[in-house]
Amino acid sequence: MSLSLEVVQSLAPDQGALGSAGKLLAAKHWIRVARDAATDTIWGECQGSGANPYLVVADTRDHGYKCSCPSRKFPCKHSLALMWRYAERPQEFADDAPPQWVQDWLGRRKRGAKPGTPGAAEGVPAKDIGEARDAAAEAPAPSVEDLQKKARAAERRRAQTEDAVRAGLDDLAQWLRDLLRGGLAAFVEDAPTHCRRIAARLVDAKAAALASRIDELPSRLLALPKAVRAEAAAFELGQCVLLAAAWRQTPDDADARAGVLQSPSRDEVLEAGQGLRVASRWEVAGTRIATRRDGLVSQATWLVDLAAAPAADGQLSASSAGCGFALLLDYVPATAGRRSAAFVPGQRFDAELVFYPGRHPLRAVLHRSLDTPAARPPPLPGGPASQSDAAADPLAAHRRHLSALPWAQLTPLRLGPGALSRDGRGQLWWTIRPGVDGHASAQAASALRVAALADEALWLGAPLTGAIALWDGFQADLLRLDTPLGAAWPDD
Amino acid sequence: MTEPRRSADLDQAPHELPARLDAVLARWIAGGDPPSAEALGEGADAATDALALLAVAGQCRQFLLDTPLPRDARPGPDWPAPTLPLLPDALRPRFRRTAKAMHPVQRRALLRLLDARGWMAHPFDWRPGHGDDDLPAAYDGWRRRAGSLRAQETAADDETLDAASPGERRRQLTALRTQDPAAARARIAALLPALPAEQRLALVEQVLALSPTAEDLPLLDTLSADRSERVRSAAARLRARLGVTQPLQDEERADIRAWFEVGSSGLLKRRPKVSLLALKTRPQQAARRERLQRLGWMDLCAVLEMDPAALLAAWVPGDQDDDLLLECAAHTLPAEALPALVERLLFDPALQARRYAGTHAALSAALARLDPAARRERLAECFARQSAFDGFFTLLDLADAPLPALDLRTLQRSPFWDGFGKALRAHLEHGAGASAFAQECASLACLLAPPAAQALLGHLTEAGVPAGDPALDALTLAAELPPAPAVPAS
Repeated sequence: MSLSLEVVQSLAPDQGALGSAGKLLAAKHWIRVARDAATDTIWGECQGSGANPYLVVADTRDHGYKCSCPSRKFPCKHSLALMWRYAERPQEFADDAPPQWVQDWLGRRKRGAKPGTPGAAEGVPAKDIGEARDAAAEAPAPSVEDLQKKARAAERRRAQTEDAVRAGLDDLAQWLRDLLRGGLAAFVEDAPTHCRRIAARLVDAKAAALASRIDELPSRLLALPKAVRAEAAAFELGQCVLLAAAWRQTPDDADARAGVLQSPSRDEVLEAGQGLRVASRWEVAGTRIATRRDGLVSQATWLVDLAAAPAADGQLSASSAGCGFALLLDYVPATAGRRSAAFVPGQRFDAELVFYPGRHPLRAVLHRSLDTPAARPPPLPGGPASQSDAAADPLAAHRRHLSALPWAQLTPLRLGPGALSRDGRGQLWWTIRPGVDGHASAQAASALRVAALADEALWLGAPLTGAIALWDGFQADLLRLDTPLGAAWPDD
Repeated sequence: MTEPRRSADLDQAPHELPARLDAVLARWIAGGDPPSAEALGEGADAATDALALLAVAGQCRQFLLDTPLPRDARPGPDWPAPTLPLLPDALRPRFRRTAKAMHPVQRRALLRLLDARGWMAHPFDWRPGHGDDDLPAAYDGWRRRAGSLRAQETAADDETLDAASPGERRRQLTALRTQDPAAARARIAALLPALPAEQRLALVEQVLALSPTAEDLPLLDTLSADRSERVRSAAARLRARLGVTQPLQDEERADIRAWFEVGSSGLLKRRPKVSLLALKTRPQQAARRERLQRLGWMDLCAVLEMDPAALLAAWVPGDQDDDLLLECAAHTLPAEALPALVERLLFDPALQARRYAGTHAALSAALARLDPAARRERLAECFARQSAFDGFFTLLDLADAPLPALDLRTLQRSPFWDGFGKALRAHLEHGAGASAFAQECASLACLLAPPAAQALLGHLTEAGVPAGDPALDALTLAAELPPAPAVPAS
């Protein structure tokens, strides 16, 4: 089971791909690499620019490969890097049984009869793996003068951006006033048109994050029952007002900047070193994939910190520095086609996450996987959803989130024992199960409106021992349900 | 619309605040001049910007109000307790994938395989719908729950049934029939006198015909005096399916006798021969078909003056109405003659050559009347002789459990092996994915005992099928599925 560098060189689509692959050879880019001699397969998880790692697999016999990245180069730099690394340092690949995603790939593919012969094909530009290695190693250090020049240019750009954003926010305020005068009922009726116009203006004004939020508002409203859409519009537009005011007051505030301009990149989060770092055992509570109006697909992976144990009042114990949840969020162009998810619901792994800086750290990037579990308190029995928030107020976490960040959009909730019911209009509701926490009847407790579920008939009347949900202020999206028959992820 | 109510936090807030927040929201929804902050209460700064008021009011509502459960909200029926151990977690992903890719006939067979090893599918992976019958008893609870949910949705009470359109009424009664046959029967009996003939006929043919039992006989007896000839015939057909036939009049006997040609064949040893005569006109054919559906095998024997086994041996297929004779024999032939019928249905080349549409249904009905061991023995014979089946799939819904006697050696010698080999070669040549090989593998998996499944799996991987190939999922499941731990008697 071996690979030669000539093979890697001949497989590369161009010198650029080889050069990019050369920069990914260092172990720090790989969360895990392994091999299986029985199937002649090597695989790894490469940490790309996104929050979720790319899953890369290659066949050392016929040189087939697959990567979950959206690149249009075949093979992509991740596949080339995996093979290159194996060709040079096979001892770094642990012997292991192929995980499910590798088995799926093996099952789907048809093995080539013979591997391709290394050598330059006609019409393909010459490639040189040695040159690519040298280029990766020779990253020249910038001079002090260059750095100063860059800093001055960045400061100039920053001032220009802030001026543009202020002008954009003035326009947003005027748009909101006009909108209130016209009535939210009329706005809700034709929200896409209204929002598209102001979103385009905000994009021009470099307020990309706020533009995107307003552009996506119509689809969030449409996901709600008609009866609450106007109220939800009022709430969210009010949040935009607060966000704009916060940014005007402190443009450097990390939360305000992420909400109005853009979130920092993965590298910026890691390099800044300001973000909360949590090494723990994580469980995937659920994933949500949505196609946005701007042509991007958002891929959200919600994680639960299994060591974060909330106390009776719903506050997390001192052992947990975060809110007990983490969000890995990536965007890929819709035109790149369907991407396989890096994680499956229920999957558990030990890793250190670095959170984006902010008052209520939630969004994070996966920094490194841990070979030995972090020294944290053991997880509570019964799964993460059993560690519910204060049962009397299922929305306590949402209110805490809003207290810290009034423009927060989604709050992950841990719900305690409850039940789902359906009203005469077909709307689903979650309530604390009667008898739990002193509630004599479901009507006596607060009810949460629940978004439509796949296989709804199964869950009606199910004895739920816990749940994890995403709450947007009006409706809960149930990610995970715990029952006496085990955990389920209804929409995955 | 469910009205928000005061949350516990609101105890500290002015009592009128919720109403004032509602009023402010109503003004924003309607449009016009924006409300002033004073609308929220005394002491509010009148100079507060309209947008600031929008922001604050939205936050207030999130903090101070919560929503009660609507009074008309209803939970679903309780989950039934599992009667068998649920499939182990390690095997569930493979089961889920396999069951999803399977034809319903294969899925039923897979569930029977699980049942035979003492397991049941996890309800999160698969569970029956209200109309799924022919499943192991372990799923009865979930089937009843599905029926109960459907009945809740369709609310088949007398009032709604009276008001429903004929089609809707039929759907509601069909749902009720699967959930509570006695209640459905009672409602049908109450409804029938007031319905026109077409609707009565539809209820008999489409609702009562769903799994009729002996408990339906009193209602079917009353329908034998129905004023519509077609309803009377439909009821008589159902009674015949339940083994109850009416005594024949002399005139009817003569008619039936005239439909058959009775003779003998063979030069040295003369054998009796009975066959249906070809009829000339469509009305004649329709009348004969209608009459044959109400006939029992013993009635025929009496008309043709032969004993049941002799009539079966003498019958020579050759007419399009022969499938009705097969159906009649399968349901009403005396038990001692059943093995001969099954033998003919499985292995008679003349019958196979005719390819009657009703052969499979007749075989299914006849096999269902054999005891399980005899049934499996007859099906196992199909692996040694040329039978009516050309693949494993067609055998599936006839086998109520895996065939323990079937091993790899027998399989390789069976008439099916050549076809299976061809499918395997095509699969290896054209790559993975849905293929005839995948179909046959899935079917075969449901027929094999664990050692045979393991041996076949080894044979196929040696032949070049990758172990992770989805086509092998069902076979791998059959090979890996251990016997369930014994459930302690409660």
